[in-house]
Amino acid sequence: MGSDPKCEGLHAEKLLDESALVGAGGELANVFVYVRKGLEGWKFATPTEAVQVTQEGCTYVPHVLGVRVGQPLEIGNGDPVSHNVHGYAKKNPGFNQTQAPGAAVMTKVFNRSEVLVPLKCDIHGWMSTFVGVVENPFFAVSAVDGSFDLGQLPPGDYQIAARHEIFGLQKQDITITAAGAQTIEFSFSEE
Amino acid sequence: MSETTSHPRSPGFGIVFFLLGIVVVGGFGVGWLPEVKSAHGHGIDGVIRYLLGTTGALFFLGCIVLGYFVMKYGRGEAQSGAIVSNRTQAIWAIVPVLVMCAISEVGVLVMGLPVFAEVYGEAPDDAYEVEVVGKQFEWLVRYPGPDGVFGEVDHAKVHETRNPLGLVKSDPAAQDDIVVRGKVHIPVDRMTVVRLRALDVIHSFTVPLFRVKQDTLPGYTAYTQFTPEEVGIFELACAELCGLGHYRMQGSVIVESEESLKNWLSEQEPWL
Amino acid sequence: MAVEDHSAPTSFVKKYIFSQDHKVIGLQYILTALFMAIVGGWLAVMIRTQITWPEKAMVTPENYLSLVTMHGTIMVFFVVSLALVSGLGNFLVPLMLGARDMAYPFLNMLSYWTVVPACFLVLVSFVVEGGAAAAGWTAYPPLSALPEAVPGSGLGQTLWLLAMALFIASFTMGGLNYIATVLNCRAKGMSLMRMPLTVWTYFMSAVLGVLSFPPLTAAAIMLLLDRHGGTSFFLPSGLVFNNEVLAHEGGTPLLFQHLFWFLGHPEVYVLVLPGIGITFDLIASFARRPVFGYKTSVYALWVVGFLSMIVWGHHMYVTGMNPYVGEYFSIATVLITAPFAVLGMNLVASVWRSRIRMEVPMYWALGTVAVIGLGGFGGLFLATSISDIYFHDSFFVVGHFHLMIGVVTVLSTFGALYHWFPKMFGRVMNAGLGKLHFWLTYVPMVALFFLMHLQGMSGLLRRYYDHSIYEFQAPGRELALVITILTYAAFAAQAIFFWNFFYSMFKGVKVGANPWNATTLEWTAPSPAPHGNWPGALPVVDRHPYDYDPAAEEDSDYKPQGVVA
Ligand code: HEM
Repeated sequence: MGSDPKCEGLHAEKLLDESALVGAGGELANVFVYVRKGLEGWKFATPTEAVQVTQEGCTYVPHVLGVRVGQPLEIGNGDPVSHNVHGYAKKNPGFNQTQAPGAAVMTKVFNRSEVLVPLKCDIHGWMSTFVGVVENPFFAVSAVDGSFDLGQLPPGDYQIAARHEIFGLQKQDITITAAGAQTIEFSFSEE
Repeated sequence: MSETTSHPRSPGFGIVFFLLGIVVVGGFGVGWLPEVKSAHGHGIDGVIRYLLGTTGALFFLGCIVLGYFVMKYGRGEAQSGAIVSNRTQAIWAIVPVLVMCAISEVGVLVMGLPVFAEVYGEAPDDAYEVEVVGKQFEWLVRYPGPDGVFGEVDHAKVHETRNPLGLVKSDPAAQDDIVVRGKVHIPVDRMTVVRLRALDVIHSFTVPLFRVKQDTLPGYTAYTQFTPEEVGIFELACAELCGLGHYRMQGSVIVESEESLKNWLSEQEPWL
Repeated sequence: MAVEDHSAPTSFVKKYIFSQDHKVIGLQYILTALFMAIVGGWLAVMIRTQITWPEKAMVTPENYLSLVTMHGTIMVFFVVSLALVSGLGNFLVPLMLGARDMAYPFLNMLSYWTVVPACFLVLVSFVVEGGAAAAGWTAYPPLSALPEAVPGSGLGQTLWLLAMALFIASFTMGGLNYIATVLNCRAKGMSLMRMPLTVWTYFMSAVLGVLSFPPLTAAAIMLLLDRHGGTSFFLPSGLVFNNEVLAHEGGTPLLFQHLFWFLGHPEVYVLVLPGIGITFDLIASFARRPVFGYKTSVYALWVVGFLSMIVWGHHMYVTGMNPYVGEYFSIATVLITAPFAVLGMNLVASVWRSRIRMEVPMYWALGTVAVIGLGGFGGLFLATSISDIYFHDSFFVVGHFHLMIGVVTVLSTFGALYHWFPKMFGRVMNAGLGKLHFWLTYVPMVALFFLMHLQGMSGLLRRYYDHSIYEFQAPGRELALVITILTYAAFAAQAIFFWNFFYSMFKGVKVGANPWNATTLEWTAPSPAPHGNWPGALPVVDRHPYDYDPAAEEDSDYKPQGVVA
């Protein structure tokens, strides 16, 4: 994929393009799903424990993740090459810093909700990860089989949103009753 | 004698200029230019050598004269005849003006124009065409494919991994375009015309051994042309500050025979 | 017009801080510049350390670019401009013209106090988010326009632009003041063609500065608007960052380069010409003979000044500008070597049939002459568009422009400080230390920038954080270590100067009004020169500025240019 010979040595096979991972039956992975509306009245304690993302084999792991407003995000470099961590945030302040091999972990805190904030390495253009910054703990990233689990929402009316780095945003309204599990399905298509 | 010692004297200071002249001329004389590998490059090196020769000689002469003056007049002896007429002073102004105009315009016009024609002149019809696009921090190389036509691009469609140049699907000419990162394959002994563009900031396409350097400006299409004379792999670098990865915007130009170039091209999949 | 006789200030603040006395303001500029020089020099040390041992990764790539950018910016605008042009110029021009002060003393004070906040902004920008500006001292957009392009293009670049705007305002006030002073405040009998060459060069420098800075002001404002106002003067459509096209459209990055170099090239002469003028004056004072070719030198200055305004495009040969336009610029640019050669010839010929006194300033002056030659000839390689294809943005360029705007200017500034120190403080600087300082500065500086030419010849590219991943840059890298050691030496040697300067200010040997037996008017004023420069009447000029006779008795071999009644 890339043009950095040092990166090519780090993985046996060619790197996978993670921007649109679609299963055999059309299941879409790496969609960030979250509760967009309906929890305005609630207050949730901000976790102090940091969320981790690392650069390994010249790729970001994981490729999509969620973090709470105010919760620290720790970015590490496990590679023998330098990367620059370039946060293209719009509502939060952007940043762009080189992280040399073995350099200290970089800690970032986002103070406003923003879905999704891309983190990129400009030196290795293919490297990116997407951070969903949200205000409540009800979010998930779709798995390889396209499934996701938002956890136990209290009964009420909600707007659930799903955002994919390529295919964009979709929203659906649902009502949760005390009765039990609810299923919601999003389908994306390339324009 | 007492007069001449009442002020500090140091005629030996003149040696500084002799040494400077020798070191500078000797230093350049070592020949730092790497061996040139393109046709027009010989012309560029010719201009450089011409300038080295002429200005080197003048600089050396100047050093010798200044050094000699300092040694001779540094001893503190009274000198007569220092005041000369306006006419003499004017003549000694006209001489350097004529010398420098001659030397410099011979460089630009007599030596330079033929090379200028090679570098910027009309390319022959059978020139080989390839497109190189600069972006932070790599060179994207596009080959027109069998139809020989570069298809349409739309920057709104650019995606790092999915469509790095933003090729437009609906354009048939774009269907067979080949996009490769960092590797420019070109034929030996035939003129290559490189179409240069940039996606984000200014870059500069330089292949030092070919004596090629051309900025790529976003919003413009620039061209540079050269004829490689030797099969081999030559380093491609960026010569205009383009951001924190400027220093590692490395690529390579692979010069090969027509035969193996054709083979290589036929093995490539179109991007779309 | 006579300068209004402003009476001597009495309070400390009026005398030394918000002073309107050109000598105090000149010293304020010089001291500010000396401070900034320590910063700029330290940045050079860091730059050299990083590129010599890239594997140690002493700084990150983005910080490295900030170092290079700020080193260049500080050295050009806040060291050389301030020390040589604003500082020494302020001190010397009225004294050499036989004036009581500058034409506009208040404007003079204002111009100094405008540049102080600019220095402050430049220094502060190192610690803001994203770091100091990193787009090079040339600040080419789009790199300098878009925060996403490089971290330094965030707040750091904004502060850089504001600092530039303040600097330009200050420098323009200063330039107008020089022009007005030269045209209106000359002593009786001081016709233009009797002015010392130092004053002539300051005059040319001011004219060039006043004519060429406005376009840069415009460019800076347009760039600020592109950055913060959503305009697109310099930004074309279709710029892609992070897979998204920016909203800008219709501008062109080339426009900025034209505006920048329309200033940038004359700016080089703004800096270099006073250095050359001072060198002429120092040589005359210590060679004890009239300057050779005074008139032809003045004409050459005018030609240089004129040509320098019409050749800016030679910085842009490979930018994609129409090559035929480039060819015009090339033909015109190389012509500058002609008047320059006249100046160089005249400098050398001014030593012919002389009787040299090897006082400290003369070391610096003679040393400068050779560097003008080396730097001048080097320029021809870059001015010729064909050879520039190879040299553009290589270390050859770095070596060349340092020789001209770094070495010629720094050497002549030092020479001038040693020479005019008595007029500033009534004492001389220690000669032994002065010579030691000369050798430890001259040899490493000339050597290291000469070696950079060779690096450029071999293909080494500038503004590189790490050259080691390229095979073609390997031969050039072999010289890096030597260059870096020479840099350390040159930097360390400045401690000698600082000690000598400040020690001599209070403890140096006291001297009279004219310790060098020199002819120009400033030496008819007491040392140190009082407020108003001459306690009684102003001198009246009755001859040309360099009336030395090397055939006469040693101690009566000169006639002052004017006499005080
Ligand atoms: C001993 C003294 C000095 C040393 C060792 C030195 C060294 C350097 C080095 C290594 C660079 C970076 C070259 C590159 O990779 O692009 C540089 C850039 C530069 N220096 Fe100096 N320098 C010195 C003094 C000066 C002075 C006195 C000036 C005054 C005008 C100056 C003006 C500049 C400028 C304008 C740049 C270009 C910055 C840019 O690329 O944006 N330097 N210098």
